[in-house]
Amino acid sequence: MFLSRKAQKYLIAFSFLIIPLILLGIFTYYPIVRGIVLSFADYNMLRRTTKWVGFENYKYLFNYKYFYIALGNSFKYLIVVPFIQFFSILLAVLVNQKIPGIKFFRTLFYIPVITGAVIVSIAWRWIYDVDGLLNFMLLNLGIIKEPILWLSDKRIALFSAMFVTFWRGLGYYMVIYLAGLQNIPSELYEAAMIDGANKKQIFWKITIPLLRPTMLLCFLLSTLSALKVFEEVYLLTQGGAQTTTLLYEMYDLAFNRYQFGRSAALSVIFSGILIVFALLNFKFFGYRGEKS
Amino acid sequence: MKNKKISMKKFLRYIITYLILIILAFFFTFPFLWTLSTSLKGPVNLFKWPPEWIPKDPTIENYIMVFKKLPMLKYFLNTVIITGLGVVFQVITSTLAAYPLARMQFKGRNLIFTLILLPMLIPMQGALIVNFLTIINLNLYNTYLGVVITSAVSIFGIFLMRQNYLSVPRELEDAARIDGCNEFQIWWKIILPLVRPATATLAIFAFAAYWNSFLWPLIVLRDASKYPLQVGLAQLNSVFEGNFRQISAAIVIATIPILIFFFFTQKFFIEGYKGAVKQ
Repeated sequence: MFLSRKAQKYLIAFSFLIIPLILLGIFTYYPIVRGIVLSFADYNMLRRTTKWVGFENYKYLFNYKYFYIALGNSFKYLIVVPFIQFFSILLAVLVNQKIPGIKFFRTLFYIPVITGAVIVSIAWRWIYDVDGLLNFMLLNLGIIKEPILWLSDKRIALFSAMFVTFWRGLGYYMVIYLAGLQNIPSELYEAAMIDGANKKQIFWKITIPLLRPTMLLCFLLSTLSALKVFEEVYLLTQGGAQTTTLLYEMYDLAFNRYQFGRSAALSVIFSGILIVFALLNFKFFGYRGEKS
Repeated sequence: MKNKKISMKKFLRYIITYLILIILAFFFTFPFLWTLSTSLKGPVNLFKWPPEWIPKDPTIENYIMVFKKLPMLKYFLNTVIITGLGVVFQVITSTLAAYPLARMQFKGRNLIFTLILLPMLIPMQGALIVNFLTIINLNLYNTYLGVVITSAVSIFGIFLMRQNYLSVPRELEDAARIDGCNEFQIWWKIILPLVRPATATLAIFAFAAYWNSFLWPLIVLRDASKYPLQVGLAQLNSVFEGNFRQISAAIVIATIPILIFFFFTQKFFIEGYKGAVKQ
């Protein structure tokens, strides 16, 4: 072998890395760069021509009514985050008890996560329908007199979608919190018990601080996925009843109206918003809990 | 006397806990139970007061109609192909890429790891358009490969495998090296078998993600005969013209495989997150 030891090591390391890195390059890094370039152009898919338009796409968006509706809705969707987090921590504590049959209940709570957005949305559309289960129950119980248009009333539809997101997300975060809870060494609890701490003190002084890294992860994930909500909107309302969100608008511009440049511009603006929110999350919860 | 009081209190706590658990179980499953119930009902009296959760005269007619109107078996096979391909890709790329990042010393290692994690902060939905154009240029439009190749590398998977590779003791590797194994043999014969539970977890996560994937297959596939279940189901409303009993039957058919799968693999889901959130 003529190669130095160091060069050999590089060669070996990169032979492990090369295929994954090439794939990431083509389908992850390249789209990020190309997307930014595309946002300054008018791309015609059929003729495959690119015409440079400068900031026209951005200007168009800033004068576009649905951009603001989508922006507002994506932010409104953040209301879901604290609710999901609060209740999924409670759920995780509840199912972390060692009592008979608890695994069965965990499985049941996870079913909405595992079944996927399409099935969940069809089932909920059936519940929210004008003649659906929800209206039927409320009418018969005498709570309402007229059926409510859960998915087509402008004032209600977004909240109906939010509730599905909440319902679908609880089990997902419950499992992450459960993993976080089970990672806390039991010696800590034993030591605290010997020192005479009561249950409340143990929860606030040991469980919550040690759950911090998990909480950071979960808040970050649920903030980003609330801003990025798409499936519920697409499957429940098709963006109707003023429920369009940034991601839905992005999809609509590109794949229904073939305005790729405008869609790319929206994607750039959207990326900026998401990065700001990710940084805010880190700042708010701090790096303190993060050890690696 | 005091003892009795305590056990009474404990008993009461048990009852309350289980009561809460049962109410929650209903909260999380009632849309599915309602769908199941609807799918077994005949055309008469869809609604009765109080709501009929267990139909009096159950019928499988709706299920027969679903199989007549929709190529369910074809959808199912398509889903199996897409999911299988995706799982294989993600497991191979993650187990490969994570190895040098966890167990080899070389300059620039941390930089590469950071670069790999970075896209987690960027909305990759923005990549949909460009990836769609790339797929067309690579002549992969309307192919199964086109559906899976864009997500063939899982960042979460690389992260998970790296965390698990780190936990394998150094001594095992040293012993193998003394016996004359090269780096690939060490990876394949020593380290990889030791992280098998993590690999299984990764495979299961990938399975669930691909099985339920919906938007990308919808964009990349043109022929309805190539649709996976989720995409096929999304067209239900037009096929069944709002016949909820038949739609419900289709949902039940599509849900059963994933529920069976989850029933047997559920412990890996919690283990997987434990591996990812541990320090």
